[in-house]
Amino acid sequence: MATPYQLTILTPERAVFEGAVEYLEAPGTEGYFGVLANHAGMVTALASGTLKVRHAGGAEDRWQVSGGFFEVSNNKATVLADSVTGGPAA
Amino acid sequence: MPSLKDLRRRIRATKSTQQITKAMEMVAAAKLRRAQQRAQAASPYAAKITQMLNNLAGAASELEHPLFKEREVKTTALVLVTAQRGLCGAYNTNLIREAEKRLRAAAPGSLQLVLVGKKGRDYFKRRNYPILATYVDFPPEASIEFARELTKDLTELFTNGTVDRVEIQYTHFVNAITRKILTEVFLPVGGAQAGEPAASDNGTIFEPDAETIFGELLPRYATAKLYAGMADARASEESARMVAMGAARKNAGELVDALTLQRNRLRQALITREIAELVGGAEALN
Repeated sequence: MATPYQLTILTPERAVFEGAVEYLEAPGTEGYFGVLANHAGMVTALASGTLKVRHAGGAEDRWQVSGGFFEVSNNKATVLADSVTGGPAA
Repeated sequence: MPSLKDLRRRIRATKSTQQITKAMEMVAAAKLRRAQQRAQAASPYAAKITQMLNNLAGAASELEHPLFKEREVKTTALVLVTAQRGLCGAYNTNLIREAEKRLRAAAPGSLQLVLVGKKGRDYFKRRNYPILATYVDFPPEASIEFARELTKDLTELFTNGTVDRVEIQYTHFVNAITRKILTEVFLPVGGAQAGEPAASDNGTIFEPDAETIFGELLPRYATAKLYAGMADARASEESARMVAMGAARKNAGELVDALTLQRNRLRQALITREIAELVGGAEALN
């Protein structure tokens, strides 16, 4: 089991998600990338695409994001998306 | 001296006014709550993007972007955020007065207006001040789409050299009874303190590169700031309306009481007179 880290998904209008995840896969402008715990500090721009998240425990969720940013440092990851649809609630 | 009928009519009219103002007060209270929630929901994003911008500006101080550059200020655009509707006390009047004060003080043509909201437009369209743009068609609640559109237009005014600076003036919501008019510099984006070094900037990977991210980040930062300002203004507007309607309801109540007293006195006087006349008539028969 992978070590969990903290993820926050934000849009200009609301906070979409906050919690511990093991793994996430996001649509970078240079292609999809995956992030595990203890990733090196990184800031990147996001394209439109699917954001895939594996929660601590193994369950998976997907969101559609359209552009934005991703930042990770010291096991704290943040997705700043222009807009987000989907996810467990929808 | 009003007749009994007049008094009754006035009491009825005042009572229905009181009911309307009471309803409006409650509607404003509900809308205020919603507007506040919106403003609060937006704040984590705004805080994070500000932090990212500061980190980036600290990590690479040689970053350049047209939106980031201070120019010599010859013309300023003043974005005035007013309400779409009235009946909110001095809310709009205060904003307009503040803006007009600045317009009078400024050299002719050096301060141009961008009006957001019907009330601002209605006031300034009959007066001789330079108006760059007017926005009156936008959703009643603060909307990120509208904030994006406005950011795009303002950015264009700034980059094509029409104005050298963009300021926004709106009402900041302090609490349910206190509001404050704020004027903030919107463009150039000067909010980032380049001197603040990021906590762990060494080794941070930028993809594709810091410059591109910076260029992507700036307009979004501006949009977030504008959105926050407009959400704040919405909350202020509804709180102003709530207070104004509360005062109106109270006044109507006092007026109803005064009129009712007057009506009762008049009625009593009429009855007394009638009895006196009857007694007088009976006496005369004897």
